[in-house]
Amino acid sequence: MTKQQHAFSYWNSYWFRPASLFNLAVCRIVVIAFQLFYLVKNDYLGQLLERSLLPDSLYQPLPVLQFLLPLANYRPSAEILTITYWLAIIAGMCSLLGIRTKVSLLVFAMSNLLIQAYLYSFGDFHHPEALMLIALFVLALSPAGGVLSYDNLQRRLRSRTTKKRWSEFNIVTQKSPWAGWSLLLIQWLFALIYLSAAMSKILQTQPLALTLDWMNGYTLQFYLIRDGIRWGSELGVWLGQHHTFAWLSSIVAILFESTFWVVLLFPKLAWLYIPAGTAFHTGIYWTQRAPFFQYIALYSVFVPWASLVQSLSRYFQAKKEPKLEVFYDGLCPLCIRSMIVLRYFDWFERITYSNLETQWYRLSSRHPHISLTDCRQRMHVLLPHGAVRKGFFAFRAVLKYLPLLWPLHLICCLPMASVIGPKVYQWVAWRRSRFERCSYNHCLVDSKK
Amino acid sequence: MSNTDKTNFNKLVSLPISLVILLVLSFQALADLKKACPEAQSWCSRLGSDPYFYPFLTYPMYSRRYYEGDKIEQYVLLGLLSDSSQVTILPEDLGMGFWLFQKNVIKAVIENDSEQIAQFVEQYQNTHNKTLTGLQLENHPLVLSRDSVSPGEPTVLKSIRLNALEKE
Repeated sequence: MTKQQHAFSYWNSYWFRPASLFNLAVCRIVVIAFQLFYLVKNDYLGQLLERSLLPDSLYQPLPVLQFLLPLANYRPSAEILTITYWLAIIAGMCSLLGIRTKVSLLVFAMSNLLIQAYLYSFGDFHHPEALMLIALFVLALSPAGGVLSYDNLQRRLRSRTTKKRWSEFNIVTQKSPWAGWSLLLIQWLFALIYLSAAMSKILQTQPLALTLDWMNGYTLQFYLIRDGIRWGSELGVWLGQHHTFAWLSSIVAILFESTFWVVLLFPKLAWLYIPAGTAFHTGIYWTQRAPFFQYIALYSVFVPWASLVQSLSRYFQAKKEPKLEVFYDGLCPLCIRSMIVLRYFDWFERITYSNLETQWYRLSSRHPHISLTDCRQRMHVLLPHGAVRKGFFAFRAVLKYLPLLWPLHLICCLPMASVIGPKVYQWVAWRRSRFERCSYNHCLVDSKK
Repeated sequence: MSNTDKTNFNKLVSLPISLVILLVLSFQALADLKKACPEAQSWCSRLGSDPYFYPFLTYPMYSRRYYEGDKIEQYVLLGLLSDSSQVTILPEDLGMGFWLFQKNVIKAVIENDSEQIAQFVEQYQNTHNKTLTGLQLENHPLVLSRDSVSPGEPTVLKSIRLNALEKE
């Protein structure tokens, strides 16, 4: 193998080794949920409209804005800005839910960049949003909707219903060679950015040399008091009058920023650096009101979400926590679809899925009062202590075992839910028997032909 | 898809993604490289400064070093009215936040940018129904010491008579 081939192979094995799609999808959800919240909470629409009232003489479009709006000296009107804002919100919601994930994420990234670039086209710019904007584009180019998305669920439903049978799957363990590079790239950007921040503090230009003056304590005192007064942080002003605290904090800050890249070599150190970074940025906010919350949200790229879920799953298994057993009609398309949806959210593997066609003998021998016809008409679940729940109550019992669907479980536990719920369930089940089973029978006739 | 097809497909997809990775890392690294550039001598000094490559930026925030006795500057912009009284002009009076005010209004006053000043004055007069005859920019500094800050001597940085500005 030549040197180039060796380097190419190393490059590929670093960036494109099979990685968890689940990790990527959780990051997508965390990052987009944060960014949507940020847009609304900080009244970006209000800010855009406020800027649109400023005189043209103050408008100095950033090069990226000129690239996005390539008309000479074009300044977007308030209407265009409003449309862009709402486009960002809609695209953000779609990419959060994973509806047309790639397109919606790209639109979300573009509209966010346009909004931010416009806001910074009046002679003033800040840093907190920059990494988030790059990260949005990087995520848009990755298979971030590979799992935990409406697209993926729909794809599974379509393929399993076509195959007319249920087969076990686990979204938490699913891997792809294209799932890792985007998270790694954002991690690298973090390392470069922190290193850049550290270097600007400890490198002096003209002549280029290292200096430790930034850690003299007075520097941090200066910033704490200045920002504390400017932005109304009494804590900042108070801490700024404690020289030893400022001296120690500045040493910790430089150590953190200059060594953050070590996490790339030893990923387990993320358990030290990520809490430290969260404390670092929260502290900066409390004392200096510098809002780098994007960084805390983006730290999700360092968290091995799939491993965490699998550890919890193993914990339940080790504790011998009894599972809930759902019986489904393996010949009913709607039932298969329902099982796919339940399995999709069953990250901790708390449910056993049993096909009535193969498990009926076991169920009927333990519960002779249950009829096969009734089982086919309504969902039946066997609780760990042996009791059976049917229909709406079975559905409610299942929800209790799926943490992600707890909000729905809460709704099902509201007063009157026990009265209304069974009626709604019955209505859905009735529709199912009219359409889905008929369609299945139709398939049977077709296959006989 | 056979294994060979799959390997070829993976190679084909990995190329554009590798290009994206290299581009993103290079842009971020280049943004920083400028700092280490010998001034006006090499190609890297010709790269645009922040925010030219936005969202690729350098991160020099809070990097300036300070020492005991340094002054924390606090600018106050005063408007002089026709009845000789004074009003403090705040960022919100001009529909701006702190930073826009600093980087546009205060900067215009310091640089004596008559065109910009005239615009802000007109905006202020229209929204507050007051006639300004002059502007005065003052610095009310705080002096940093080991365990406290103390007020420094206020100084007038700029005094502008608006009638003279109009004539200009």
